[in-house]
Amino acid sequence: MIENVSRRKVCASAVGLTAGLVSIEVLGQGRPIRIGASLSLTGTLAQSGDKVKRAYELWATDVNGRGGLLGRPVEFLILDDRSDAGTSARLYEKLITQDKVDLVIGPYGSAASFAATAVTEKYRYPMLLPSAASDTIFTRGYKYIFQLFPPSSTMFEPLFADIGAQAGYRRVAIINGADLYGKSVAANLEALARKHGRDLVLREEFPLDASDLSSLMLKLRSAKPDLIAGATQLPDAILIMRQLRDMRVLPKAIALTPGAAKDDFGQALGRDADGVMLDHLWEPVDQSPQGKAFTAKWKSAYRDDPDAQSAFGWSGGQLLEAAVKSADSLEHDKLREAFLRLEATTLLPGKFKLDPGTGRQTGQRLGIAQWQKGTRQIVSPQELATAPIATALAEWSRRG
Amino acid sequence: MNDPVLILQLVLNGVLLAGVYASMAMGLNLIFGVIRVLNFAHGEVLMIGAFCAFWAWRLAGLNPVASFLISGPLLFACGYLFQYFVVRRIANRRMAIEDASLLLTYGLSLVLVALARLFWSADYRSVPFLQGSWLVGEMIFPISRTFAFGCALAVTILLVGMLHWTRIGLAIRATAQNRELASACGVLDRHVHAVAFGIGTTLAGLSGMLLSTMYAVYPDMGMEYSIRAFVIVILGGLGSMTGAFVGALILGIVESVGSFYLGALPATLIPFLAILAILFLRPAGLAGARAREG
Repeated sequence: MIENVSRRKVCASAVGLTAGLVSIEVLGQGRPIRIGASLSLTGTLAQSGDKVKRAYELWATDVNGRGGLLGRPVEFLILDDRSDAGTSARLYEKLITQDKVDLVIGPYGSAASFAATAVTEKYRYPMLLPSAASDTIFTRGYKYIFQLFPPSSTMFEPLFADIGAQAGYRRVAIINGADLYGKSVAANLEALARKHGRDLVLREEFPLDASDLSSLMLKLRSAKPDLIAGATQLPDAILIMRQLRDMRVLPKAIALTPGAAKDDFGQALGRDADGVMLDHLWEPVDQSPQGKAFTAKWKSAYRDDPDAQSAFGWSGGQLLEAAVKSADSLEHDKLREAFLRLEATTLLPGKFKLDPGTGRQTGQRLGIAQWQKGTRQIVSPQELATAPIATALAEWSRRG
Repeated sequence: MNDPVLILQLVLNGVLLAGVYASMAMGLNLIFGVIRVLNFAHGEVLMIGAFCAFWAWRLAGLNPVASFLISGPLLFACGYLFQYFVVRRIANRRMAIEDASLLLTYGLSLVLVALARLFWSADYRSVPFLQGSWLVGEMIFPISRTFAFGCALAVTILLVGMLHWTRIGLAIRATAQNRELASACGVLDRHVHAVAFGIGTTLAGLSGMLLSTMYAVYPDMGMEYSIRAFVIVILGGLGSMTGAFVGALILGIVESVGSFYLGALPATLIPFLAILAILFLRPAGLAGARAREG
């Protein structure tokens, strides 16, 4: 009896399900594919959130111009999470349960990605996370999340590996601001130094927004490093450069993340910024064919310059497109499999490739950029380089 | 690690650092010593001074010292008027002046930071002036810091001189010692208070100008320096100018040497441990009973 009922039920639901799917497919012809996202359009992360929003929309316009996805136009539903991770999670719940979007794509930053994926995972919505750097997002056993951001273990790797070997960066000093980011980058750098057999001559942490680091400079002076690699926010990065010059410390090379990646760094320091290296994700100077095409499209649409955040958004759209095409469906499990086997070039160095167990990125790499005459030039990897690398810093006194 | 040149250099760095600390702490101390107003917005006035130096350099190409000849008097006027029209009014209400002014200046500090973010954005700026260093024997003298120390020393001497040998100086000290008595002797205390506040504001602006050549200039920069100014004032004795200078020297040297031997992160505890120690051992500050006499 029980067996009969359940068999009947199963049959009925199977029929119903098929009918439902068919009707959706039939109705779906020409109906837009709606993609939901929450982004930080106001609040502290508004600047970056806006770049990602415009990048998503630029990709949507682009793909629609090419005939859409699976023959249907693409439409974004983007809500403002006010730079708050909790709000982002609530908005994804709304997008999925009330707005009933077909697909979702990630919010801006690690914090929002961490919170929002708890919701998307619950509803088994595959979620590509374009700008989530934090490793902890991918240690929760989730099955429907996919990372684009290059693994943090690749930060400054060329300076310890090939470039470092050629330029003779034997003695290495690692310095970092005492925040989570600084600590984790410094730990990675230390691992790299050991892996490549460099001498770690100094490892020191300093407080954020420090008012004076001249004692650290004296330590650097006596440690005589060839390479100073540091994880420091912008104000400390500016202070470090100022005081290195003041205290006449001149290593062969300095690499700072993320402080040196900001425009303000170059503006505040002028010629003293020259030669400083930083991690490269994407820069508007990118001369690769797809980089140039992206910059041209962005400029004609928005009349300002794209940046790394824009590149994340754009690459995110392209990867979603590639996965949907390869799955030839919007069905979530098929899409998940498509993401996990996807290998694609994006605007970022390396190649998009995921660890199938965790959804973590394994193929993209962090490149190296360098301040040269007031501009950030890409110097590594070789195939993306826009200028040759200057492996030794110019004397402070010759900088004017 | 125990090379004598290195130790001398550490001490020198501390002494030079103390220059900026001193000019900042003296302003705070003067205001407190005379008016009993704990100016919570002191760090934000410093930030305004730093931005004045930055914009004068960016827009008009003026070097920070030249621009201070304009911004200094302006800041003095602002301080004077603020004390005369705002602080003085709240002083007559029910709340004690110390408490009321704390709330008032705390509010002012929030407003100044918000305005700075609104008008100038939260970007980080810097003025490339007096960069590099002099090498004297084996000792390094960073030019901007040496200059800042010279300015602070000159200002201390000028200020102490003024407090002792000019009419307004005498009036300021008289009011600080006993307001009612000074008033009864014909000292116009509302004017004296406003002048003291004006001088304090100018000194904060001066430290901001000096800092703009060393550090990043941004709307939230004031907090870091406010804390140090408070530590120095407590260390040196509330109201004492020479105490403030000595307090700054001690803090500068201890921070410099401490962060070398203990590491930069543990060294951030030094100012706070110093406060605890002083409050415990010598609650009136190092200058002790001489406090409030200049």
